[in-house]
Amino acid sequence: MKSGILNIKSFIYFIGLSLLAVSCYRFEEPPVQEPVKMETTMTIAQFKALYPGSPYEITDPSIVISGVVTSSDKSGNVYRSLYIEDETAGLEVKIGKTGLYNDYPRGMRLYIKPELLCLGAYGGSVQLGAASTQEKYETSYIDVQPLIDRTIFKGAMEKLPDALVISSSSDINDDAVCRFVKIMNASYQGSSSGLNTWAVKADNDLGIEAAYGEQNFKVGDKQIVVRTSGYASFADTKVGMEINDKCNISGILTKFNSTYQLVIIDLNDVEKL
Amino acid sequence: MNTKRLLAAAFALLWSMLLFGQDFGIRGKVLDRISSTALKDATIKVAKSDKGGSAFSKICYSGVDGTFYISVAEGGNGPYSIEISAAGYFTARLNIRIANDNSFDLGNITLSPEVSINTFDDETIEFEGANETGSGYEDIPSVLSSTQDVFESVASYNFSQMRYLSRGYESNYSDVYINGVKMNDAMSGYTPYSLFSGLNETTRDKESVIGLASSEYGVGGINGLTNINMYASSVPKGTRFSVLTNSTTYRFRLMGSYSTGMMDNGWAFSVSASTRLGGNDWVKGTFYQGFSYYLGAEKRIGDEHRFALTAFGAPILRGAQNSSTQEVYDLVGSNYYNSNWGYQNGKVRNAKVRNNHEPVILFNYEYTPMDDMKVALGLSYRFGKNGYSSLDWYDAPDPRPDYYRNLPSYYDDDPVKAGWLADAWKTDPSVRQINWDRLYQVNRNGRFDSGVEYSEKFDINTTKRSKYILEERHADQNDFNINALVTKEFGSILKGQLGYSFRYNKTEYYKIVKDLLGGDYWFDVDQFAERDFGSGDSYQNNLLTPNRVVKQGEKYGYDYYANLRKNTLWTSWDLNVGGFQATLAAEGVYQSFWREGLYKKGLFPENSYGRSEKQNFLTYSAKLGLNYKFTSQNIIYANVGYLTQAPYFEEAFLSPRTRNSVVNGLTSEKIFSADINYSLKTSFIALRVSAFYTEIKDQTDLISFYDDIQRTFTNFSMTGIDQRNIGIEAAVKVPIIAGISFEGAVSYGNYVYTSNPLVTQTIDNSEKVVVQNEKVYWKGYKVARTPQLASSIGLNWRGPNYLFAGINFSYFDGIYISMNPLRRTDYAIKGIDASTQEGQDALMKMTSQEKFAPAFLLNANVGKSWSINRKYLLGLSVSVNNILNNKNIKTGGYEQMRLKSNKDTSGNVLNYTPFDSKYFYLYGINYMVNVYFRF
Repeated sequence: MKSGILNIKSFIYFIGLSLLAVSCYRFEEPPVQEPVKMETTMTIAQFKALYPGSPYEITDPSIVISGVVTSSDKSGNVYRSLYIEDETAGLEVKIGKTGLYNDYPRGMRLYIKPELLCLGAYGGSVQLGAASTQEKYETSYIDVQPLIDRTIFKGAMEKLPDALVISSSSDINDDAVCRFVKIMNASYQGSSSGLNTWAVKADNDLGIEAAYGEQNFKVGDKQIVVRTSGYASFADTKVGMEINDKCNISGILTKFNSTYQLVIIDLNDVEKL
Repeated sequence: MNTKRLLAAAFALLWSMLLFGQDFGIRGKVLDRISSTALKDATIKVAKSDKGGSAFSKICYSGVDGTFYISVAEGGNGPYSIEISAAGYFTARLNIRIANDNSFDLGNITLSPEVSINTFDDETIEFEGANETGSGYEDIPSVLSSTQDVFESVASYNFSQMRYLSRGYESNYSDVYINGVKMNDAMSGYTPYSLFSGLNETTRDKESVIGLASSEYGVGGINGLTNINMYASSVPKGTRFSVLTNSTTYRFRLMGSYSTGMMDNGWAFSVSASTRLGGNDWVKGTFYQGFSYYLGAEKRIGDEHRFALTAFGAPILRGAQNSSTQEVYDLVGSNYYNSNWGYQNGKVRNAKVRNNHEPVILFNYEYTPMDDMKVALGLSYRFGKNGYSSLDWYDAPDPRPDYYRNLPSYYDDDPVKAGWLADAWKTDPSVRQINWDRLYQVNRNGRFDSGVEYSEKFDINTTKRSKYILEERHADQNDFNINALVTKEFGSILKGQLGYSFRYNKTEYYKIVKDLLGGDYWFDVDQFAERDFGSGDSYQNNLLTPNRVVKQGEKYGYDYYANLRKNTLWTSWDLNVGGFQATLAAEGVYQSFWREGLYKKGLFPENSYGRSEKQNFLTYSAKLGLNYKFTSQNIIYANVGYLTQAPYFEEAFLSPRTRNSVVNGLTSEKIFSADINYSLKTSFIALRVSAFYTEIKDQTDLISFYDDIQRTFTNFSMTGIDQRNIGIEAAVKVPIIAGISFEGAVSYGNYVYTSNPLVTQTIDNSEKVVVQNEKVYWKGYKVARTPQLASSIGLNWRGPNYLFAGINFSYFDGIYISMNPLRRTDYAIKGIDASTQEGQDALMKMTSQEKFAPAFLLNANVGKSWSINRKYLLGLSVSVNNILNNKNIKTGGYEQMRLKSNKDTSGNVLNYTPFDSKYFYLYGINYMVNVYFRF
């Protein structure tokens, strides 16, 4: 019996030793990634000017451009794309992933080495994407991670650039396209029944499909369309504006053929007057 | 050890015994279990054990041919205990009764070698299956070793590597008891091997019946009943250590146990512990960090009272393996690719880790007031934690590397991009595996988003909201069982048993934030509801604590109890007349289960919090077994049974995470089963041939998964699944010459679905029903998860000086893929024009069931043990499996649950096509080395 107790003791030691041997399954946090910093070789305006009027695949490995992210796809109104801008111009970058605001939040500086990418136009607006295999589009989404990793680099977080203020019709011009703008005193010029919701959200129970909403505003004598996706989280939020009601409204200015459009990022962009 | 069966056989023989005048005794023959060769010099100890009588004990040794005879005329009539031991073998113990001055023939007693190639067979491997409910699933052995049955002993080792399921049944059709208390999982019915994995030394003493037979511990199901004796006195006396390494599961196992055996003072104590550590050669990212313990104490007072207290547990961290599509395997150049891990700071980190520690405490009391009557009481309590981790993310891209949009095939219309991806898959670990660095980076960027005011408690500028976290899903049990059993013999002709058991189970299902991955908190709202319903209460996971900020270790998402109360009353009667034995067993079960929601879900405020309606089921089973013994070892027996079984909790609720709704038309499963068997054991041959037929009707199943089309968690609930399992089993062992014996086994079955069940697909986060009561055209399709043909032949050699070796060829066929029910519905084939060849091909692709290629395996083993100073025993065994190193053997797979919708330019669905299936492959050549030391 005594030897039995001794043996049990040695077993408890054995158990203790084994517990020590079982090291914890723990991991150190990976180091914070240092933001990238690069020397740019041209401005965004210069870069956009490289577009010759048809798809242009960039083969020059030395080109580096840079800009700060001004858009967010959090609400879903911007989808699979983001906009950057520097002092000279704004640019749409068709990265192609969803949830881009997680990786590229507003205010982050991006550096782009566009070799392997493609400049093309959609509705007359120059975009940066990948070469397209479909004739009807000049560019496709960059989409694949290895191509993104080769071309788009994350810089430091900076302040979101101040919105370019648009207070008269002459401020609405091609230089402002793809920039984050704030339109002052826009007046609603849409349906006589008023602006109910920005767009139409899908409703499976009622058999309604999501649809873009196009709401007409006027700044001075120029018309601008606030274009909103039916998939935007605020698509069916009640707006409540009557004809001639005025608001200050921010967003990314885009242009489709000759129509200037505004893409709002979220409802903070709308300030009813 | 199947002592009870021997006992029964022995009883039957009692009458046909020869009388040797005044002298009478006990005779038998000792054989090696693996080779069936005779064991000489085995020690046979006989002791008389009746009350009040004078103590009598005697020893003899077996002869060259293994036989022995020991006279017990001096001891007289009454009960005897017999202990048979031999160096290098496990000791066998059995009890018999001598009556009418007749001799008793024990027949063949086979001893298991202590150094066995089968030391590894109860190990479970964690797989990620199609069902993402809680826990992934474990590959559980459905055939046990250590039974005396010739088929099971061959099948347990040679078939299990191909994930063979005995007779094609899932694990919930086998019953596992410990010390007489049923241990199958209360919520799923699964056999509970993970509770005692790593405790091989203390779980060797098993009594089992196979197939439909009823047992002395319960009426049982259709796939056998095993009772594991974990009493302190059941653990072999002495100290033993073993060290094991292998290349398929873990690197290192150290196991030790010490047992006093039953001491003169009536006490027995036993302790055992083990640790299992490391990964394997084949699948990166998988690992074991396991530890097991066992403590047993037992006290006998006279022959009347036996008390036992047993406690054991097996805390473990185990990294899981995932399956992928063939495209992925081909890209990385290996069928053993595992998408569950990625590098973090240069270290391999697996996202799917089982974290389990569920201790079990058992108390047993046996009262034997008379030689022919016994009362047994058992209490068990199982508690602790059972967690399984997984990545969770909120409105951010899917982080799984083999998500279909991250694969070249998604860009089949753009070869340049497909090429970029293919190159990256081949060379870049951050593309091929989980990119933990990116997840941390995203979380460090996480902010409250302007426009969405979640909480004012936080400084928006400094607090980081995690978008990617590791969650740990839990199913934590409180399982309490009371068991009472009375056994009474009426002479030697009739034996009756009456048993009652009560089960109380309260299991909490919930999940916690296991790791915030660099962020400060997780926000507990429902992202799918937020996306679909925008604002308000509807996207709250819990209206009782809205907009809750969750820190590491805290619960979130869902939280509910599953409650079960189950009463079982059963009886069994054995009639023995001459060589004829009949057993009638019947059972009635009344049970009640319900869900109890602890969260008030925003979408289901009236149907999520508090108790669901109680689901009450009264079920019954009856079995008849007939057994005729030509001689004690030459038996024909047959069983027939009709069983009904209530559905398990885990299949009964439509969407248990979110609400109290029960599956429509929930009903009991009905089983009819019959088998007929012939068994022959002589000193020359061991043989069993069986045929079985089983119809299972009204099965229910719940498959939960992330649906990419719905972009949310959804549930497939299926009802009215019928299946039929018909087959034969046969096995033989024959000595050939000079210690060489031949063994062969075959299991050939046809396991098919015989009904067209109904499937309903519901979404976790809304009342929306995607597909309602859609008919699944399953009739005639095959039941998956097992080879329907498994066969093996082998040679075993047992040489002088405890040397042994074996070689074995196995062949498997009829292995089918697990099916996605949706693919056999009208819903899935809509828009396919079957009048064209193209349409025909599309139809075939959607509805045909993939059959895997047959597999051929070659395995070998060798071992030796040494006796040192007659005091110590040292043993070594080595086994090598899949010697032909075939790395293209599919052992299983499943069809992905989602379908791809093909749309026209205006977004209307034209038709659907299936996604590629996912597969598991058998490991290539692999080894196991076991070193064993006993003193």
